[in-house]
Amino acid sequence: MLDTLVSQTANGLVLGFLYVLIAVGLSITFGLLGVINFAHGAFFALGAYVAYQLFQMFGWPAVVFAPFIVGVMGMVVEVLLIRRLYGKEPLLSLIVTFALALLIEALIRFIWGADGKPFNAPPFLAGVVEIGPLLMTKYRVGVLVATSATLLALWWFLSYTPYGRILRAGSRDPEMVELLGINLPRVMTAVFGLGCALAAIAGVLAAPLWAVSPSMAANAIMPAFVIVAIGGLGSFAGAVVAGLAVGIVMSLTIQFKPDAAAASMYVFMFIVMLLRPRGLFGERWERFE
Amino acid sequence: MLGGNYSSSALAMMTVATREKIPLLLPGAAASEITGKSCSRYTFRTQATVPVQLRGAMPYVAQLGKKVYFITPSYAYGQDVLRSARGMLKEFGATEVGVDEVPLNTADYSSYILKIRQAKPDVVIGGLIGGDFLSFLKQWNEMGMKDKIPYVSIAITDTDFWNVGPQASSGIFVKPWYHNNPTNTAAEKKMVAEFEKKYGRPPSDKSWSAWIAMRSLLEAITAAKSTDSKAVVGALEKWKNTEGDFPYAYCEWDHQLVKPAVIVGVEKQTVDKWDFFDVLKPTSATEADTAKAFGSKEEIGCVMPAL
Repeated sequence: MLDTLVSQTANGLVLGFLYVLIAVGLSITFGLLGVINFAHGAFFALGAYVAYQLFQMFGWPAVVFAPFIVGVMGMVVEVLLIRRLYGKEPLLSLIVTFALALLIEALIRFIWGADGKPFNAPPFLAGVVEIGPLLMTKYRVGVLVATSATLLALWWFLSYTPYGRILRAGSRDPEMVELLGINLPRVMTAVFGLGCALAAIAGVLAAPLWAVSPSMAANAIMPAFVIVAIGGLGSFAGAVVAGLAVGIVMSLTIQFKPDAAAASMYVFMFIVMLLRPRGLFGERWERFE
Repeated sequence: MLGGNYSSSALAMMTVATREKIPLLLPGAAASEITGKSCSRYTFRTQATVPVQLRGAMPYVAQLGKKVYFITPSYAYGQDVLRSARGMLKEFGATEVGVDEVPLNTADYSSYILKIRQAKPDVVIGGLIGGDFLSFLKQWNEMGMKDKIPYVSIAITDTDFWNVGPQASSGIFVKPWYHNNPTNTAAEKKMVAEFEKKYGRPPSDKSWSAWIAMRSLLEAITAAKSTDSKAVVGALEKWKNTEGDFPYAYCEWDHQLVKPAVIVGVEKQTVDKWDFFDVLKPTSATEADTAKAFGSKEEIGCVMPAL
């Protein structure tokens, strides 16, 4: 039994890391811009499709450019649409970004067709690693490394670079940041692009594991919202802890009560919300009071 | 009306079609109750039922081993797969070593695959379809299970395999029809050629199911010389295809198309991106065996109301 628990917990951690990557972009977009981006899952799907296209045209190395391309697409969307939502009711951003999600999914169907696309792990990451009761595929180890590196780089960027400080300051007191002579609209465009690029990284990493189909966003957006709610809206650390916790909860539920697996994360969220409505790491934000 | 791919949505559509007295042809749904206890005078179904397809697959399951693990989707069709297969285990000398009923739209199967690995079955009987089946096959291959434990499933469709690619495909499957089956009729071969010319790829079994359903509907309208619902239903009940080795038609007392499905195995070395399978055999070889496989009126339990 202990072997089973260790094996499923380790597996849940890997799944959790993927969820963290999906959720952290959503959390940043909300935390820094105040926009609830329902289209976040669509950018996740777009990441997978752009990676598939780059792989078809130029091979595996080109896949690393997919998040940059999706990030630029996100910035264009921000300039044309999202910036009109700043300071407005949260419900408005929900409705507009929900429509945006439907539009992006329709565009994916139009460009790539309704059928899924064959996209498997690269040959150099084929095979499994077995250490005692632990079984992990080389690709999932690769996902773990890539996700950890991305999250560390993001944390360093937000905490220790001047640009990261501007982003954090802008999220708390935009007027003061503008008074200091900083072009805040440009900063906000970059933030939205960053959130979309993070979703796209998760999409690229998930593509060899999940079905690459126009509706793949649905599998990403709900866990992302649940994780952001559990971790606390806008909290980077909260998204990390909640993502890992959700991964483990789901893996252990599959082991002991598989038919309740889909419901387990919602039950977990329900319990956390009852005990701490702001989420595990949620703070009081003057802007949203 | 033609459509309704998932058994659950087909059952919901049937209620409306019956109320509005509109003939409904279902090319995809496989759950038994569609032509069983929930049957309708206005519903016709082309895909073989779950028990018929499973009975075709079970001799292969028995050859692969005695310890069986089930992984089925948690809705009407998956529950039918589990119930029917469990009912046949004893007959084929097999035992159940584990079961997972998986929620629809599950993206990550790694925890389920770890459970299967721990249970050490000889064979896995699956019922996953669509995107769920794609994700499962990808991760089954990724976790090195493809060549370790055989996977057997029913009601799968070609597009699932085209979407996942040859690298991740493996197993033995039952499907309504296959485009590269040497026993296809002349009309089917002509349809395949025309489809390939128009779309640049062969038709999937779903394309065939829709084609034969539409053909039967149009031929019934022609025979009835009317589009009146009752006249079309009457003509569909008399419709018959005589192009193959033996004729097939919708059964008059449950409206199920009584036609064998085909059992296929994924080729060891796939060279053609549209042709993944070796055709093993049909689920039944004669008209009498086919009628027997689909069950008697008492076994099916359909009570068809008057028009």
